[in-house]
Amino acid sequence: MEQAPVGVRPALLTLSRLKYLIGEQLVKVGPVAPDLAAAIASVAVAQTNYGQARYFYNWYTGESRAADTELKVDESWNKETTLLNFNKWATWPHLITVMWLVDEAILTLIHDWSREDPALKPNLEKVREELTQALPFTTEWVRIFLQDGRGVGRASAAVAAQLGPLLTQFLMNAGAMAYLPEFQDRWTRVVGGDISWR
Amino acid sequence: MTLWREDEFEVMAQHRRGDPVHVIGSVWAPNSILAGFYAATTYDEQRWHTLYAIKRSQKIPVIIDGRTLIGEERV
Repeated sequence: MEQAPVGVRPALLTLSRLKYLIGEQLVKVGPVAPDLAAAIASVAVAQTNYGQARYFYNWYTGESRAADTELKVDESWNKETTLLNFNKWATWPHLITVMWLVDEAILTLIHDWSREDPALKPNLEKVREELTQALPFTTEWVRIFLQDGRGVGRASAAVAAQLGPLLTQFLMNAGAMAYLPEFQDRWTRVVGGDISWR
Repeated sequence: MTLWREDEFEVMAQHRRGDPVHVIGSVWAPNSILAGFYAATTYDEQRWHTLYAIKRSQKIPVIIDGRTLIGEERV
């Protein structure tokens, strides 16, 4: 596999780690989803997240197949583990909100990268398609949490309030500009409990 | 405790173009968007040509137990 251009490599490493950590959390928390279908969906989505983690990592290194040991969480992952904060946010509503926000951020980045450098587009197309297909799962659950208006709604808004600005900063550092306001608009609406967007 | 109401959606599938459409199972979901997602992830053991999720309460009964309901008042 051809190695990604230098400019996008640091962001690819972060994306790979975020996806891996979300996959791990889905495997742990997915089985206690509120219903069986959501639990089954969580396992399927976890597999997709692991696949995306590996894809981003392979593109980062330029290797066609990363060794399993290269995706092992250690202290070099502190930036990503701190960003996702799963030790604090261990429940299913937290995880789903984190996943929604991270997928929205990655889609924002993919759109911006593809717009800035069309040569990157073919490398991003499959992930873009997978993210677009998985987004209704998290978006609808975030909407349900917020409609609840009680504990889970507040928990979901709190995740957006804490993670939203951090992901915005990450996107700015990664060169996302054109679609950034749209991303910011999404998470600030969720912080305010606004679920009117589709 | 469930904080949201769920409905049952029947899942219907067609293996290849022209094959009969079969009911292959059902999913419970809070809305039709999630029902579609659950149908895709629950019944992904093969590649379908067509997959539908149909809300059970919205099916229109036409013949039940051999009796045609057309023209009868439905409650």
